[in-house]
Amino acid sequence: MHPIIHIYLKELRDMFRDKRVRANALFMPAMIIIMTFTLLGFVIEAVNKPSNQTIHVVNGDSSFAKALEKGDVKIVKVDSVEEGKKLIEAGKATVVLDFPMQPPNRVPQVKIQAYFDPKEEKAKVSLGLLQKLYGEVSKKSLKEMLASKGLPQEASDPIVVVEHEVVVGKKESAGAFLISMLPYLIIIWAFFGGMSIVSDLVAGEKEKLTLETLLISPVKRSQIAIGKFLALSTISMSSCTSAILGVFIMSKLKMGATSKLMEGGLGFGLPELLAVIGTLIPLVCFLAALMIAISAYAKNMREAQSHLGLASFVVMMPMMMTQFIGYSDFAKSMAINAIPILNSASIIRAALQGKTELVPVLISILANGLLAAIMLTLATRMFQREKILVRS
Amino acid sequence: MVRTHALSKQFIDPKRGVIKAVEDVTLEAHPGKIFGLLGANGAGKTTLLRMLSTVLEPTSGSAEVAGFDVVKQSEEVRRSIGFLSASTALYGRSTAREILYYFAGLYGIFGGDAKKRVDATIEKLGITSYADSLCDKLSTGQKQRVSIGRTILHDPPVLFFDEPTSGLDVLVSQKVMEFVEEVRTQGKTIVYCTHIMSEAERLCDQVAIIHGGTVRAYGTVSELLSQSGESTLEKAFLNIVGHQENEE
Repeated sequence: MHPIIHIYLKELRDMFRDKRVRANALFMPAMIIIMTFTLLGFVIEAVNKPSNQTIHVVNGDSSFAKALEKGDVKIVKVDSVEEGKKLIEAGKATVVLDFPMQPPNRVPQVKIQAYFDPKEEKAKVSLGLLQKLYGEVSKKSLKEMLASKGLPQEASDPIVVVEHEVVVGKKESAGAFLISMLPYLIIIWAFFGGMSIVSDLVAGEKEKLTLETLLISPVKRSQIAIGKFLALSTISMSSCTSAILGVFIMSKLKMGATSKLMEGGLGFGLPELLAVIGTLIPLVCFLAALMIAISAYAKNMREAQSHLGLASFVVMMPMMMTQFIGYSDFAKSMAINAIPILNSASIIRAALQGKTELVPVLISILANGLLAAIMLTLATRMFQREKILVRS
Repeated sequence: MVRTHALSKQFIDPKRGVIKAVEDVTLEAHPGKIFGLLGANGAGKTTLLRMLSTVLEPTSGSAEVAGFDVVKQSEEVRRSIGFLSASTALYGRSTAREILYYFAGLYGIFGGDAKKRVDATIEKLGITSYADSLCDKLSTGQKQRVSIGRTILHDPPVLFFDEPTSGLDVLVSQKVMEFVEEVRTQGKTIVYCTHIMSEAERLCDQVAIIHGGTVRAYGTVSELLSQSGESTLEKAFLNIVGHQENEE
């Protein structure tokens, strides 16, 4: 057996025996995806449900208030605007509506005064719901008025934007929310999947002096480095795969509110899955080599963990940016495929949109692969330097 | 055989400048003999052993282990040596048997040959009852036996011991020393680093007293005693090291 394979298999066996690895790297990614989106689904549903909105109203007996009640909104009557404002200040009311006394058909426009704290997100959600509700009532009454005067009802909407969907790629596509969040939640595991174990892998061996027993074996130092690198890459890739598995489980389970997030399907088929895994593998290799280099540089586990903590911030920045790339034209440019982390996110986005194309995938694999090769060379060179490897 | 000639190792420390860890060390250790390296902590013993085992590269001078040059034929040197230290840990999440198989593989021993050697080592060292226990669960003495197994599994002609009894209780230390004596009878070349004089008196056929990175005295125990005019090796050591420190 080749020494690299021999070391790789031993490291892998030791890692899988570690509870931290099994929990943090293999189980957690899938669980986090499922839990995050299930929770978000419930929150989104709850927030948008009219029956979960409580509106405080002055002149609660007016027809406007009744219209609200018909729309399932909970109403709490208050005596005056001043009282309503006090309730807002005390955090006991979100929106207070002051209805006019006149019946709606006697004036050309009815103004409902809404009082709210602009810093409260919930107030904005409630206002949005009210705008929608009264918009519909307003339109209905306008149509009735037009009809009573013998005018066409369409005059209530003099300009209408008619939407025509052009299907690009597959028809199935994950929702915009999933498309912005999922790439981030999959890619972070390329780093954090291996982070829990890498300090033990080299710095820990230095500390316990087990590394020295490896160094005095006939195996080349570069082989030791590569064996460990492969084992770490496998764990990190397993984490990413676990996260992807979590997405599939979530799409199959369609638990309650989660199904709303996936109304348009997942967009993922076998070719998309292969494209995503294809770009993730070199990215995982690049980050694993980076972590091995950091762990080799550190004197002990504590130092390794502190260096890795700093490195995680550097890696996190582009990872966080992946959530927003869809809002700019940069997401569509070829240049994004040359930037590690962002390119993998872009490929996952495209896969979720059902718009996977070969050229961006190939550029991403090439760019990530090149970086991985450079970083691995650096890491193996660190294993050759006695100043780094034998320092304590 | 182990042979060094004017072997030196310097480190550059950003704060302390050039540190001469080992300087001009010339010595010879022969098959079937135990060569003792005696010195206080920080004397340069471990650095010397690390150079001989190719972990560190000498700054100058040369060294041969089992007929191979430590710089030019480092892989052959590593294939010919076994290294035991009390401070070296084992892989906690591997069993004793798995560790022995792992190290057999690192020395290119696989399949039936590996099984034969691992089984023989387990039996010889009395590891059988805990061979399949994780090393994290073993006592210090049991771990040391596994470490010994790892050291001799590939049957190296040269063995290095770096303070192998440090931190061990009397019973385990006794076992380690009995093992060292046993491998001497097998004709292996042994370099034994220690700062415990009684161990050196009991085990070593030849001794080099190393202090400040240089060899201060060299010979058999009785030669050192007669050179220093002292009755015990401990007194001789203090005489040689203390005397030379005063001269400096």
